[in-house]
Amino acid sequence: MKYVIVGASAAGLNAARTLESLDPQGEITILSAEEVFPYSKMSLPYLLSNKLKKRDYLFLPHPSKAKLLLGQRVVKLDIERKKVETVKNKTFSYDKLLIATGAEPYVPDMELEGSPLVLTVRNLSDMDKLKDKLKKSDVKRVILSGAGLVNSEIADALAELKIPATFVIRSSRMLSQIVDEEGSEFIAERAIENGMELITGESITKVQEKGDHANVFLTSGKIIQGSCVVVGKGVRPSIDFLEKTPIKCDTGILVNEYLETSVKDVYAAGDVTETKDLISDEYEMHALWPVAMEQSRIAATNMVGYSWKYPKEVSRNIVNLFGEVVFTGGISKEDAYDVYKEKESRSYHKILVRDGKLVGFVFVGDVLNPGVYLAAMKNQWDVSHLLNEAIKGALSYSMFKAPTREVVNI
Amino acid sequence: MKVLMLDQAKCTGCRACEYACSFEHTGKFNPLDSRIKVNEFWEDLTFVPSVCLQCERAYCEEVCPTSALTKNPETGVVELNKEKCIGCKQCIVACPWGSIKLDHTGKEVIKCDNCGGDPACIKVCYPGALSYEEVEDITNVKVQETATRLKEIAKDLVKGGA
Ligand SMILES: Cc1cc2nc3c(=O)[nH]c(=O)nc-3n(C[C@H](O)[C@H](O)[C@H](O)COP(=O)(O)OP(=O)(O)OC[C@H]3O[C@@H](n4cnc5c(N)ncnc54)[C@H](O)[C@@H]3O)c2cc1C
Ligand code: SF4
Repeated sequence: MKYVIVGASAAGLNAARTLESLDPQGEITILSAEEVFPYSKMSLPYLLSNKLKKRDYLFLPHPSKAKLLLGQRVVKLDIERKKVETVKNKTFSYDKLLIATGAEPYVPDMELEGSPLVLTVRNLSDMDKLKDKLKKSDVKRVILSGAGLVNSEIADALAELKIPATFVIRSSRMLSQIVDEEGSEFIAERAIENGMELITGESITKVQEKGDHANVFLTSGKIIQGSCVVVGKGVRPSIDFLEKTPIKCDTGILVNEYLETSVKDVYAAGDVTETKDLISDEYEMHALWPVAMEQSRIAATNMVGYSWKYPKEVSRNIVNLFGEVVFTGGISKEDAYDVYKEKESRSYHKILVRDGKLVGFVFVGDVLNPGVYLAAMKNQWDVSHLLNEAIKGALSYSMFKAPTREVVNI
Repeated sequence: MKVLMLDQAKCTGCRACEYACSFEHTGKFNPLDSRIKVNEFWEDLTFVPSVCLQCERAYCEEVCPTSALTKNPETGVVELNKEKCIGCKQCIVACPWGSIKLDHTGKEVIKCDNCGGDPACIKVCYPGALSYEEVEDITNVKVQETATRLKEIAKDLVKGGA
């Protein structure tokens, strides 16, 4: 069997590893757009903060048998002939294809795109650019456009380095995609304690190069200065090369419960996909590292010929920000169904319960066993008798009756 | 290859293993720093020790972005390399059994390492709920146990048929 994997990151490499073990005779080729050996994108903020002690630790484990070809961005997919073509005019034919091209940062304002002082952080080269700008600039401050997960992680890394940053936030608050207003407030307080500045209700209209720094113009007319601007306004799946194919896409590739696309023998996994969400029961992007791992393992298993159903997914995040662990899941940014909250000076807890089942949570501060919260939500275990423990962040496996623990979706 | 073997039926819930584990790894007796946990089911008055199963293809290992977690092919242990760990906590969320966790400070990742081949927990488990045995021996015991159970069923069937 000939397998071709497009994209060599979390999903692509994990799929290769799965294929290697399940079909040792298979011929596996991985095509990567990037020129560098695959590395972990989610570790990039840790590279900046030096929590990653050596740059080498960034790189993902080598596949043992699969052929990995760098600098081979796929530009065309020929469904009829079962072939892909790369920028270097090479073609590769496949029996089974996996699309694991991930996502790219989205820059909503065209004016900002292309300016050498406006960066996004997705690739290693982006992080190197940011470090370079920080080193060379005469103004040691980073302007962060947007306060989503990636920019918050970068701010956290900058705080470690004692470099100040200014968030410019169009909406009124931080992490509005994953936490509610109270959670945002709590994190914003920590951010400010750590030397961050927050400008809300404003956007950047223009970035002007001024010697070794950037002059940044805001909608109110205010001008601020920084080493550079990092735009963190979410990502969009990389699906350009699928334009002329019948593969069904919305924002991302719509896959079925076996992670196969609408075209036979073509599978997709990772940030490039949209899959059914357990809570909303609608197609959504779950662009997360652990999801990429899970999807790639299942997709690859199905490519070999098994029929492993991919369970409905839930959004979740665990992230270290300004000395706090922020752990969210499900419809965490909303206040819907039965809402329970607990706020103390150093912690904020919220759980959302629908028909006795967990459908969302926010924990800022310690949670004893985060894996249990995810399992309880994914498996929709009854928590109605455990609300006290649940809101305290103290759920543990032994609180669930033995039979409910038999089938565990992770 | 030796593995930690749990015989839940024998656990009395004394939690000596938790203290031994904590002391072995930190020099202090703090159950929050123990890699092994005794789960208490008070309504049934049963106690079930749980500890890392050293999965063949471990979820924690798969999800670790820096390969700080790797399976040692010789000992079978999923080992944590602290030097490589960035503290992202992905592993903790990924383990469906809660067997990899944070220590009492809520900062450091800890997991069972079989104490490098000489587990402290088994030494204090007087009822014998915990033991450290060769995989082959366990397999033999399990084959024997299953065969015995099947024999009983077969005997019943024969009796029923007679
Ligand atoms: C700074 C940062 C911090 C993050 N933090 C977290 C976090 O804390 N928690 C979390 O869960 N997730 C986090 N993420 C997200 C996580 O990294 C992604 O979910 C994960 O990388 C997705 O893996 P993937 O393989 O699907 O896609 P990607 O990692 O995006 O990789 C896709 C690869 O495919 C290549 N490619 C694209 N198009 C083509 C083509 N046509 N031909 C060939 N190759 C192509 C790309 O160059 C890329 O290398 C973070 C991401 C970033 C950037
Ligand atoms: S916390 Fe450490 S061991 Fe766990 S996944 Fe992250 S880097 Fe790996």
